[in-house]
Amino acid sequence: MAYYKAKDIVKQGSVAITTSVIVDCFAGVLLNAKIEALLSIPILLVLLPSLMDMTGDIGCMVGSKIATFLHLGLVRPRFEKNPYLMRYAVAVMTVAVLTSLYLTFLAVAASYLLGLSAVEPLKVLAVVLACSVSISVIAFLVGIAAGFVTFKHGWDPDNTTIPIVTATCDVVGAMLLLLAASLIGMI
Amino acid sequence: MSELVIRAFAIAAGIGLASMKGVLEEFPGMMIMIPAFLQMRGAVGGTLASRLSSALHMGIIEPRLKRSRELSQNLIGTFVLNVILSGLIGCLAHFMCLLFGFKSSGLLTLFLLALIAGIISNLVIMFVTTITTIKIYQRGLDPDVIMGPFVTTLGDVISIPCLFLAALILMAAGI
Repeated sequence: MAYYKAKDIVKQGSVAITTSVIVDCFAGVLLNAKIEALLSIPILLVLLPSLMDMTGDIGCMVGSKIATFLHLGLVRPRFEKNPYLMRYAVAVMTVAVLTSLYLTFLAVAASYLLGLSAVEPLKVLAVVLACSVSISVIAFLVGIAAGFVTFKHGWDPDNTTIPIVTATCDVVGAMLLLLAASLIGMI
Repeated sequence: MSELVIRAFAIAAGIGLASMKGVLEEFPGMMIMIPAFLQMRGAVGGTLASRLSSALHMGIIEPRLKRSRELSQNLIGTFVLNVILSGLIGCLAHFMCLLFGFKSSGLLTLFLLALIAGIISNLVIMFVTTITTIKIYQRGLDPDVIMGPFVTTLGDVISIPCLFLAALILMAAGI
């Protein structure tokens, strides 16, 4: 009996990915609607592609790992304290903080080189850190929920967690960035 | 660590997009499909890498580059899924244009554009993802941690030239 069937991959994948593509369109609409706010703060435009990419990557890592945990039986699909998940949560947070430091450094360096209006590195770091830490928490919770629900349903969580988590991260990332834009604008 | 290296490469995708400006004007509606196309590319590649990682961890697929039933089912599934979703995104882009009152280059053109770009980019992604996932596992590293960021970034970098290439093919065919 084969573990993987092309038919199941197509069926489960098309449901999950079509949903994620539609959800992702909302992230685009959201950013498009507030484009003036973003244009007024050039550093946010410099950060935008990298920050969106980072949120997707964190979502991808979390989704993939949770699916593997479920397959291996290291994590059972119910809400309880689990040493593997706890250790993994700490690892994801560490990656998020380290990447934020690196990303802030790149963005500040790039805007000095391009001669964009003066920015305070600390303010940028605060925005990036706040975004990446909250994204990681959300990615983790959504990844666990999506993995548990699909696994209980008899589907392969590998097919569903990544599209669901990355699309959620994109929408939340866009919202956080706009929030940051309005906060920076006020200060 | 893989995060840091990949972050620097992400910029290449943006440079590719900037150089496509002329083609984007030639094919109205193409811009609309780009975010959806990139999300689809990342998700199809990401789920393939995720399944392969789980299968390697479980011992269902051996960490060697050889033909097996499980691996070929995975690849066939990924390919069919990609064809369906690419075509769907092309059609979706056309209807989004109609809905928001933008100019569209037509249902058939956008459908073919997404389909051709989807197939070309998918072949590259499937090939690279399968080999890299197995090689990484052989080296004793965890593909779950490395492949996610790698595949989504690779998808972004490859998708844009593939859309560009598909547009050139359509232009040469006179559509």
